[in-house]
Amino acid sequence: MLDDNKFIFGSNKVIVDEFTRIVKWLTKIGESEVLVSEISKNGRKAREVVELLGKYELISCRRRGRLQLVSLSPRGLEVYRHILSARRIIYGEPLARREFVQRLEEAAGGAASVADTSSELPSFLRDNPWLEVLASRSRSRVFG
Amino acid sequence: MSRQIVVGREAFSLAHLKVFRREEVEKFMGDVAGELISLASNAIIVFKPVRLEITFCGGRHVIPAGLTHVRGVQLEIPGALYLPGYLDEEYLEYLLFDLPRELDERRNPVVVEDCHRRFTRWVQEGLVYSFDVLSRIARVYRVPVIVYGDSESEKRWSFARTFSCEKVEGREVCFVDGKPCGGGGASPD
Repeated sequence: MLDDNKFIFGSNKVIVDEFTRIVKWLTKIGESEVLVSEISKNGRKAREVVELLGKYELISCRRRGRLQLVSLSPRGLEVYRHILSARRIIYGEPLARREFVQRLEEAAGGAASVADTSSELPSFLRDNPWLEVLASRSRSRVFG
Repeated sequence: MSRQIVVGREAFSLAHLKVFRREEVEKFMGDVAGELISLASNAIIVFKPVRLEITFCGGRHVIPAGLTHVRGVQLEIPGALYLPGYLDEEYLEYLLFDLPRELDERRNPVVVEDCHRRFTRWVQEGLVYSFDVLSRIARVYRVPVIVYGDSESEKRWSFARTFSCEKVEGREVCFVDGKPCGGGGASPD
């Protein structure tokens, strides 16, 4: 008999536990906001995934008309950061650890909302001289 | 043609507006920033992701929408949008104002050559800023962005994928995501 959190997949009957599934789906969603149908074309499976991730408050869902959109919640993003970190450790760590962790934190910190113009400025952009240079060029470009 | 928002002498699609950070909109657009931020925040843009498949090191690899770094090897990417050779503020301005417009017209993979030689001053600041802008573009338009750089630029960002080749004791060794993958040679799909 299988544990409650074990699932059988495919013809080869690979047993995948709940945690492995969570890792898989968090990695698939990543920093994007996706349609439920993009999680899986199989509607039942997609609903199962949303239920599973929702159970642990790892995603945020919102409806826009007929569309249901899913993105990682702050808790989900935190787990996702750790997954990325683990992958880097396993397959190679091109950055010094501290620098890498800082970069991940900055990237993920803005990730939830960077594309909807509401993110806070990450540290590498604070006091970045190029922002001021661009501001002056852009104003004259836009307003003449 | 998607809906265009006219600001002064420029017109922006909603997807283009979503590329900007709030602070950029405030600094670049002045008084109308609040309205633009509200428009961009309320818009939902869902593009089908564009992805590439290449053959590298004898294996097939998928390059997803996002930022990929390539070093020491040339990949041929048919139909890609190659960026012009702008430097410094012209380069950043192109990324923020012109590249999204090109992608509004056709969402193809983007290729940036010599990313590590694009700045003649404030090099590190410029490099991370350009990676940040390119990441946002890749995320909003859901296209792969391939940047060619060196070992230093490879360390400056958390790339979705990295491909590189280098000489080790006279022999060419190639890496995928930092992991050795045998002799060099890359060819397009």
